[in-house]
Amino acid sequence: MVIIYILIPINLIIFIITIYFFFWGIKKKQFDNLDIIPDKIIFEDKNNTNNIDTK
Amino acid sequence: MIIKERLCYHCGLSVNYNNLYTVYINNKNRLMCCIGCKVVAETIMKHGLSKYYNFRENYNLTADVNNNDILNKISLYKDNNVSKKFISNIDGKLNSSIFIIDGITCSACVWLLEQSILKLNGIYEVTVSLSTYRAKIIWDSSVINISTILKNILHIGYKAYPYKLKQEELLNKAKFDTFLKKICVSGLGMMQVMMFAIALYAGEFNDIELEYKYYMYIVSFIVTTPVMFYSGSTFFFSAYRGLKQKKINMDFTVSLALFFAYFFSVYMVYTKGSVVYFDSVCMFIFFLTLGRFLELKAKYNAFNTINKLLLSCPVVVNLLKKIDNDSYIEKIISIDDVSINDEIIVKVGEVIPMDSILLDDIAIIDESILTGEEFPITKKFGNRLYGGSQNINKPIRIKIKKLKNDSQISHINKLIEYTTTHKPHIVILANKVASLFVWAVLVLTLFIGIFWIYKDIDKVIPVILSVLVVTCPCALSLATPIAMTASMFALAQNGMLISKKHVLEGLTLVTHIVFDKTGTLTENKFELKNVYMLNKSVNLNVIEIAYNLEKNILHPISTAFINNIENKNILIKQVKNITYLPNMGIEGEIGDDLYRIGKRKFSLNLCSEKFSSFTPKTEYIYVLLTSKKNGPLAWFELYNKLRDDAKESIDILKNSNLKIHLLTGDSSKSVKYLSKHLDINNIVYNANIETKINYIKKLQKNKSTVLMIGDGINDAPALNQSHISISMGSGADITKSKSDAVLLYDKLKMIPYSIKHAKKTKKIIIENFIWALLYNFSMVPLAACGLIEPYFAAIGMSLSSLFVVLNSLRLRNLFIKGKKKW
Repeated sequence: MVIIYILIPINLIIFIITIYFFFWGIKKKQFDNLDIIPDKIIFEDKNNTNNIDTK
Repeated sequence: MIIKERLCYHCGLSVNYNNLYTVYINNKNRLMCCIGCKVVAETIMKHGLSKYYNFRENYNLTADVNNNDILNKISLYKDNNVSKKFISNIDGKLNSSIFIIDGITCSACVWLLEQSILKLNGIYEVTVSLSTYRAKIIWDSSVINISTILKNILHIGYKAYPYKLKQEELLNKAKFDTFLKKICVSGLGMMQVMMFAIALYAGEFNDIELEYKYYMYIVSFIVTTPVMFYSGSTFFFSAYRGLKQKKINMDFTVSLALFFAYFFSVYMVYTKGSVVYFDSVCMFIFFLTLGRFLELKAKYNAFNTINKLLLSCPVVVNLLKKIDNDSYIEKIISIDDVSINDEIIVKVGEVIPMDSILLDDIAIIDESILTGEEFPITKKFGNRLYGGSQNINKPIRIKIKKLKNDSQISHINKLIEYTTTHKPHIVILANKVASLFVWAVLVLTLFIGIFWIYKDIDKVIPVILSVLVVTCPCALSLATPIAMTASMFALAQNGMLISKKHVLEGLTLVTHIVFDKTGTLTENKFELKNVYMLNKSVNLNVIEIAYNLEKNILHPISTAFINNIENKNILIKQVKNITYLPNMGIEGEIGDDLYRIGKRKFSLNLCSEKFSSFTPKTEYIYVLLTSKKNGPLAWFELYNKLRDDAKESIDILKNSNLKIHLLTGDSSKSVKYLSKHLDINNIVYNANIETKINYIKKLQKNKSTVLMIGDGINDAPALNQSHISISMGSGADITKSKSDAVLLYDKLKMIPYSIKHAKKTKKIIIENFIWALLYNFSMVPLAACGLIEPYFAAIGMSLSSLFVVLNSLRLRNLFIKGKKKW
């Protein structure tokens, strides 16, 4: 059971990393429009960005 | 014999068999109701986006591609001075702007908008949001300009208005993001600490080694600390704010419980004690924050829907630009570009934009929005006119004197403030009950604590904790606001924009409903069906004369003439001394002759001639054009179509035992015809402003609750008098801003549906109250006896709040007989 002295700290590090990525996602506005996400899958969009150079 | 109604494939309105428009969509020729819908549908098909019709959930708005008003506003943006307010420059040529889009009903619309705008040359990025009705577009300004983008959006059936993000919006957005972060931290923390707690519970039964037990204590402490001080800070600050105002609010007990649990557990860690409560702390914080977040989201959504139209359009004015000494041209400019001493034309029914001076000889102005004075005032040349007052009887020239405070916008802003801060009766009641409750709980806890100090001191802390947690009146205070905002959101989604919260309560109590006729039960457009020439000897273009008289008046009858001009060759003539008498008609001088157009008696008075009366067909309205020199010239036969859902709506309302009344300024036989068709027995003809007000007052004397629905300028005072007022979305701006609710898309069927939904809301709020009280009262004795562990109390309270919130969220969708929406 001594192993928990290693495993739990690793757990806590993953915990902190997860929170960091959540915050990053919020900053990148990924959580802004949650209501249309399910439908977007059905529409099979290409992404909604155009590269102007290719036009 | 009943013929099945054929509906427009695009917007769902019934199809007029005289003009059959079709578009080939998805392997079949589909019917369209008008050329607008046909153009829009064809554009969608041309872009290869027919998938849209497979996925959309509702019918669209009837397409309005040729609306001159909108096209004028769109072309305004070509002007750099106007556009630079809304557009930000990103990277050299790239411009970015946010637009509010009117007409989005489901995610298929979002997809359609994104895909069709992307197809335009020069568009870099498009993101459309369903919940806020916003589109963010980034484009290359050297390839495409903003007016083209807006026109293209119009062509697929949506109206877009550039929108400047208000400071308040950015704050709201930041608030949301912070909440999400707090939920994340507390949620993940809760899961971690639960994991450690399970080890401790298992350890109670299986003799965990002390070394590991204290290790679990420490790691629980490490994870709980950020949850407590980051996510929990919401409650501490709220409790502190309440204390500063000498009030104890619900967050005070929450904070109390949290402090107790946390610091006691820390003490236990330090003294290597028997039990810690870190799991309860995290759970408590997580569920409460989640509840608050849901409430904020519901409020935000409702706010967005209400704001969408009220704040989106820039206000425009008709500027008179002087060319040389005597000639002017009219130019449409944005209200922000008006300077002092500019001369502006204000049409009949329009609002005076800012404080100004009257340049015409005489004008009749309604100042009721500022002074409450119900009857209009006569102003003379040089008199002061106030921003926000309304021009009643003829188009006037004014000179701007003060630029302050875009009065129309500030009035609307006050309206928004009112809706977000004014609490309806039932919420005030719930809050009062909650604060009494909090006091009772604190006193109770004190007694219970003292009791247990004598009985078994070890149990004092856990019992106090459980009692505090179990009695948290969150369910009471949380659920009612969520229910109301969810309900208002559902109604707003379907076009019923409620701006005063007493409406929801009030709708459940309505006994009498009063309808206006023109523009409310009937469409606010008239069609010119026929012209009967009376004087064949004079060679006059009667339609041209009628057009020129009607064109500056905002009245439903004018629409018959204004919308007709594309077909004929009509010249714009100068009209002098034009006057509009409400309910009578219009008089004006063209060339060297004086004309009148309007009701028979009014027009005949001009030329004092008698002639044989004309037998009108009962469904139509007739106006007579007379000239002083040549006598009666022509009868115009106008058709005012009854709204498609009028009969059905009135039938549903009558089935709910509501009394229906019809008040109209009309006196023609067409009213009788309409009332027979709709089966309304209480009718008042020829009603003017005063008659309408008195009628409603009389109804109210008999202890009835009156709901009135109207649209026109002269409905506003009567609407004000009723308990609840609803104005049509197509009605006059000033009527809309004064009424308690606005019916967008003019769907009369929403009136009975809103009443049903209001009743359902009331039912759910009562359910929530009962559940909350039952739960709290049954749990308190159990907790006081020490039968409930703190963590269990936390779970129970969280689940109870969650239950109440989810119950309220049932109101988010308008379910009618198993069908969603309409």
